Amino acid sequence: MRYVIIGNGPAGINAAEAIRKVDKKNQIIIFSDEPYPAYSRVLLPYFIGQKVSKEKLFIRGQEFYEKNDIALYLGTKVLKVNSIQNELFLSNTRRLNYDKLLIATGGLPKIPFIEGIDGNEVVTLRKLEDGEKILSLAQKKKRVVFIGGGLISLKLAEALHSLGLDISIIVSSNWILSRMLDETGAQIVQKHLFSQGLRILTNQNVQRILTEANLESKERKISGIIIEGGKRISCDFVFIGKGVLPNTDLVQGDEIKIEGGIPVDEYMRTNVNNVFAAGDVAETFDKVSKKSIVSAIWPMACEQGKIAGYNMAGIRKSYRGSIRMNAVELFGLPIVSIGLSGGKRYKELINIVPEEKKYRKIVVEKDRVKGAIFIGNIRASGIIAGLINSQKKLIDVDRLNFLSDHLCYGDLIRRGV
Amino acid sequence: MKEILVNLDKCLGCKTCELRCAVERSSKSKSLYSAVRENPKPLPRIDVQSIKDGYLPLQCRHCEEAPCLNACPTGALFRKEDNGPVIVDENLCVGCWMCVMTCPFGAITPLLERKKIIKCDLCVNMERPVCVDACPTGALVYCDTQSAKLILEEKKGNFIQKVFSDTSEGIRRGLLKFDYKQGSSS
Repeated sequence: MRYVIIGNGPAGINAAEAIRKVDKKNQIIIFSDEPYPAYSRVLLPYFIGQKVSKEKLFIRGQEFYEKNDIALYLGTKVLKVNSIQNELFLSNTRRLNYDKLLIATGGLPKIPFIEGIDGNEVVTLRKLEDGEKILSLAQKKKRVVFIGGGLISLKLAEALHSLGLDISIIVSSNWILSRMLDETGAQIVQKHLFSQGLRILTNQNVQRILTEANLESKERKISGIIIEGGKRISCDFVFIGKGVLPNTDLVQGDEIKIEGGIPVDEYMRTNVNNVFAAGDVAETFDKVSKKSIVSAIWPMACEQGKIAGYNMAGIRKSYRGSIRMNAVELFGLPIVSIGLSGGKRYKELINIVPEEKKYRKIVVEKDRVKGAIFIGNIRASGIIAGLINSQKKLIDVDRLNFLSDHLCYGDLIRRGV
Repeated sequence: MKEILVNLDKCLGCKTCELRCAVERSSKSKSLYSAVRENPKPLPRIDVQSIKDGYLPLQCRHCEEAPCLNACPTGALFRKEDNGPVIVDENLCVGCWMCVMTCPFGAITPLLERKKIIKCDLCVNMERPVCVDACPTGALVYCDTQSAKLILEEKKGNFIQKVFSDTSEGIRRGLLKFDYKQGSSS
């Protein structure tokens, strides 16, 4: 019996750990196309901003693999899965058979089609090597343009700003963090970022990346970008932060079904019996929207990985579904967003103190909480996340003190939740 | 593995546990007299909250399937042993607030200025948790899982216990039930 895990991220290592907890005997193999043991992608902006050293990125050292008797193959890409033959085709031209397979290949940065986007000084941030490239560019260059105003863009912008770079962020949506925040919340954050010296243009698309001849090398270097309407913004390199897409290349053409990502059932199993998927590549059920989603966040990847691992090893555990959530801190301002950020058919409880950069919004449908936004004071966000997670029926939501700065667990109990 | 069992019937809401926790675990001076003048003010890792007909001294429940452990992307939150207390390594915490976002009890406090969190660690490096020693009414009981089971079986009082994923209960009075569950055995 052989377990094979493709991907050495949070889903992969949590799966391996879970398998080893219940199966001490059989072989576990992890493939990674990167040269390092498991590290935290979430920390890459902190690494670039020199807040976290390279050593501290590694969340599992070599000893983890040894202790759990896991064979880790670094720098080995799995090119193709043949789920009929239970066979993998590896980048080193070899083949390998598996009994149980986990696809935990994560996501790949979305690259929009823009003239000049294939240049060398156009970067994304997914892997440690991307981080190192950005860091070395940051040490040589002065001005950077961000295409996209999502969480990774803004967190990286904060880091590069701390290194003294001049930053322009071009956002195609009406506001930044459009997947996390409503307009009101985004305005507060946007103002906060302006006051730190960031330039942000919303509702704008980049049309072209400009290059010019470079005296030092043959390759042309970036000189700026043109946005719609012809306005030019000068810069020395470009960052693309348009989100990620599930990395499903290796199952294209196979029996394993692909939709947005790889759809899985409550046991994290794909349509093929002995093949599982977890993390940013998997498509799971969203408890709030009741739709199938790819939830590309760390906590879900860990949980999904664990549950996949147990089921691969024959212990039945079910995944109760995802909720969309994320937390970030930008220039000292903490932001949490959970579930839905609003909408006409919902009741919205709102407390806003713009001068203190505080905002709280609780999105309610009848007697259930469907979403929440916390800016400034995030202390009680987990309590609300718990209610969204359980989709617990509440009685008389207005009495529940949700907007109080001091909301605590005891309040729920006092009100009979 | 030991845990703190809270007998809600015995808690008078005196907050002695909060005070001693803050002084002993967060102050520089370790004396109440000087601690009150420290800046930043020492914070407790236990919070006495008022509930319908009494008080709830709440600290981290050290959940079996702890959502904060899944959420931590830096390795700062960890367990030394299976089912042991959930501890934070301050050197690794960067203040990303993922754990704050996922703790259904609100038992993790973000320290915005320092970009760190504080939470109860069951005073792992001490003989007994400070709050348990400090409690003048015996509402807080430090015991192993086996003794906890015996105490709960006697049914003398309303207790809160460690949160187990398989029962989804750690808070076991009708009122206090919270449908908190991550992965579940079926």
